Amino acid sequence: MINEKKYLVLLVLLAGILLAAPTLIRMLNHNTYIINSEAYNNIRLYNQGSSNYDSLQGHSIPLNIINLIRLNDAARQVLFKIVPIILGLLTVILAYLVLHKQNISEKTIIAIVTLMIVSPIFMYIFTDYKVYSFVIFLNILGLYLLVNNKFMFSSAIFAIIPFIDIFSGIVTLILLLTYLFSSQKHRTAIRITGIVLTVTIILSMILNTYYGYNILHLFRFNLQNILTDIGANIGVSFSIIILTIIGLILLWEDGWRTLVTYTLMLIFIVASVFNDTMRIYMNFVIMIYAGFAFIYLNKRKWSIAIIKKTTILLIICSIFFSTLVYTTKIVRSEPTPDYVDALNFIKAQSLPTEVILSSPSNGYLIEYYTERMTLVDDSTKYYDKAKYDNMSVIASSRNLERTEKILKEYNIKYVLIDQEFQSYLNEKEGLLFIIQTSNKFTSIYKNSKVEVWMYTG
Amino acid sequence: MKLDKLKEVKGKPIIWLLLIFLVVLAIRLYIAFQTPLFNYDAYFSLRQIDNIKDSGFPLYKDALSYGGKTQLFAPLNYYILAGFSLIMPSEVAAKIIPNIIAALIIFIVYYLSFKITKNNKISTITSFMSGFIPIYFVDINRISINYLAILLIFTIVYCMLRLNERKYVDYALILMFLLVLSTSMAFVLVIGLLLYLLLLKLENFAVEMKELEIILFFTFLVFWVNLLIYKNAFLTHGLLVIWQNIPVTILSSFFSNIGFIQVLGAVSIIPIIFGVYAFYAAFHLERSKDVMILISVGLSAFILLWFKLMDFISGLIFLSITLVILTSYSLKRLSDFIEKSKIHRYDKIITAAIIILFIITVIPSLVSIVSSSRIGPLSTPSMNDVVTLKWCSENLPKSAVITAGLEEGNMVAYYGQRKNIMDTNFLLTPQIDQRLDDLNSIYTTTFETKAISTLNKYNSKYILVTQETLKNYNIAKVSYVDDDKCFKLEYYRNGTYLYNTDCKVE
Repeated sequence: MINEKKYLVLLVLLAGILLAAPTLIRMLNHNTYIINSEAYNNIRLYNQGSSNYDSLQGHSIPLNIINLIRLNDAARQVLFKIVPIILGLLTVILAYLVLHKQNISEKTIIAIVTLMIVSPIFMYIFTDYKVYSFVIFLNILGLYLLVNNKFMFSSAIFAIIPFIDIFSGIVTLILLLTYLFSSQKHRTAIRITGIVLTVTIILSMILNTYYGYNILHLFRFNLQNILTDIGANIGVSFSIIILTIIGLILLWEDGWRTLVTYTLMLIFIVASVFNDTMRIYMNFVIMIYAGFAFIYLNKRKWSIAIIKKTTILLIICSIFFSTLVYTTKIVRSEPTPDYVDALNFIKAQSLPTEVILSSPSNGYLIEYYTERMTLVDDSTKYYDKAKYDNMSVIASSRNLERTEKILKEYNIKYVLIDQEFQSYLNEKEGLLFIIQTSNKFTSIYKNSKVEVWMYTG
Repeated sequence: MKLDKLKEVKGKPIIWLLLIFLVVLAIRLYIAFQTPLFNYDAYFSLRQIDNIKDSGFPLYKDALSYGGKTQLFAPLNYYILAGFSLIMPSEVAAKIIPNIIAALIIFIVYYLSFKITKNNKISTITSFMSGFIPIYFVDINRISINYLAILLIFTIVYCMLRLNERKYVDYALILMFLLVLSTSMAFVLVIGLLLYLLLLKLENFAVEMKELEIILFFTFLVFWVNLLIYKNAFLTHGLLVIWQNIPVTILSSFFSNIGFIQVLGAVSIIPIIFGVYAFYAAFHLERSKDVMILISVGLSAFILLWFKLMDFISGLIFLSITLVILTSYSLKRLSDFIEKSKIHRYDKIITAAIIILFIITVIPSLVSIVSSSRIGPLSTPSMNDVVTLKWCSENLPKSAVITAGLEEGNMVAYYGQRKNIMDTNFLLTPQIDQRLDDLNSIYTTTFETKAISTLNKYNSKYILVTQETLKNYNIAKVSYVDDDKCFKLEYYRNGTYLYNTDCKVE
């Protein structure tokens, strides 16, 4: 028991270090700004006060009850910066306790939780304010209550999820049903929880529709990079995939239950290649299999000892390599003080109705600091495909008339060119040419990171 | 007494193998030294070898390629050649060592064939065939990594077949480390071994734990080491890195340079027929685990080739060596059949007929490949090009960028010691298609302003026009260089021109 507590403390400590490290390293580099991610969008939407409409970008947003909680400034800062880390640490503790209830050996539990902590997705979710930090925490909390036979509380917890993110609610329901197929335990509790969850999903759908949100926008599927070793934001490491495959083979039992469960899992895994939410959920599921495989490889008697040692070392190195690549990436990510300075300049310079053109991946960040509309951000392609396509037209067109028409149509006054957008524009070879040759653009700001051009046409 | 001794010696396979090895090596070196020069791609390797010799390290930060870029590669092959270049000139080492490595394949083909057939005669015949596969002669002057990769891969396969002996486990481990440090072609073996496990499962063979462990270890090793080496390429190109950032126009003409008949000739018809039969026999007539591992490696090369994930020549070499080894299995079946039949008296005649048939079919392809001006080992730059570039190295400013044909880029960096616009190392170069289009347009455009603006774009004031470039672009001359206002002939030597321009398009 003492040992178990010791391990749990060490795991929480490891999680704490990994979650705080990127922000701390950035602070050491005199960068106190939140890492560029959807966190900026969440904070802006929270600050805006409306739970169903994005007044800056001008479209409906899905219902999120967290946006309804009103807090003072100090409490908000805690919510945005500290709460996600605390939720991450609680998730670690709860995951450990849930696994303890499953007749899994202590070593395997430690392996599973460690793999979960060092996974880039865990770091992505819990380093700053993401909707998923609440959703995943609630899932684990609900599961903890469920395995402890407190299904009333468990149902209540699961019922909250669709009101934070309706698609996460649907994914939770699918996973609960998969669990129902695969396990003989807690069947009644899962059924009741499933019914409650279904009802709340329907309720959430009705509310969303009532507030004018198109439910179809929830289903965001497109092919994405899923390997963090090669630069994915929300992905897993190659070694984890191999370990998961080994784990799936090891835990295979003959019978239709396993067959159905594995089929559902396979569908889920394939779908998770195309969808962020599913990939985030899948990360936590596959860690169980990967953990089993890791312990199996470690425990089993190998024919050649040196191969065992080298293979285990390679696995550990490659998993930590993936974590390191991801940490380095987010430590180096925007915004830097120079970048924020450029955004503050635009904010001071521009009228509230003027629109900024830049790369979609920096859209949330620009909207947050400038309080101005951007032509495109990470969600534009789902809400307004035509707008998204027009960005591509502007970037590649050398026809001044056509470009000006689009610029005027959307009231685009500023073009913010950072390193990423510069590479994109270089590739497209349209807008840069027009900027340099048309005399319709004036460079109004330039530093080492960013150049801002004003459309004066 | 003497006759008995001679017969005894004649019966020893090692004598035959040494003889074949020496013949193969002699032919290869004879072809290699027909020219003091190398194929165009080889000049990148020569630069790496020289740099290792001078500084101890490969040239990862290349100041000349593409006007300056980072190169990514596994360095072991270059270190081996640099090691030998300490005892002989690097250009000599670069001719001799790769060809010795290439000729060594006959030993490993013999041992693999012997493992499959337990028959000295058949194994010797197949090792002889492996030495004369026409496509295997393409890389004679290319300082190619293919030879070392193939030798290592098939030696590992041999070790995999003998894992029950402890020393072969150690050999396999050492060779695996050497392989991943030599080339990314280790993926061929990884995929082959994973296919092998799949085939064993499908054919209900027992998978030995040692095999499984080594395959698992090797899979992790290859992926991790390659992630480390090519990390920047993965981050830059994402998953598309598997196509090595090769421009679309080159990728789309992947199979168009060589027709089906030429492929048959390049691999040789006898190994194809017997190899394909072995594939059929191993699955339908007499299931053999040893053959399955070879089939898996062959399939792996075929799949990678099909999806254009592997260089065409490398893929064909892999396939041909696999087919040659599989040929031994078919020959063994044929030999068993003959032994049981009434024609067993003609055994020697049949053997001789197969060898003669092989030689007859191989010689025309061999001659055709060796003399091929496109892919042959003698398709080297001309001495005029070399002299011109050496002149550049002595007379042009250090910062000069020389525009040359795509294939000549590495030569510009090696002999000219000046920056090029483009060469055949495509990784980590942004807008590679645009760059290739620009390069092509410099030679093919009829508009002087367009050519000058493109030259300005890449800060290039010099254009190298060789006979090879004119042939590749199918033009008699570059159309705008006669304009004396903008273009000045800086150097000329027997059909190789170097033009200089100081004009700018604002």
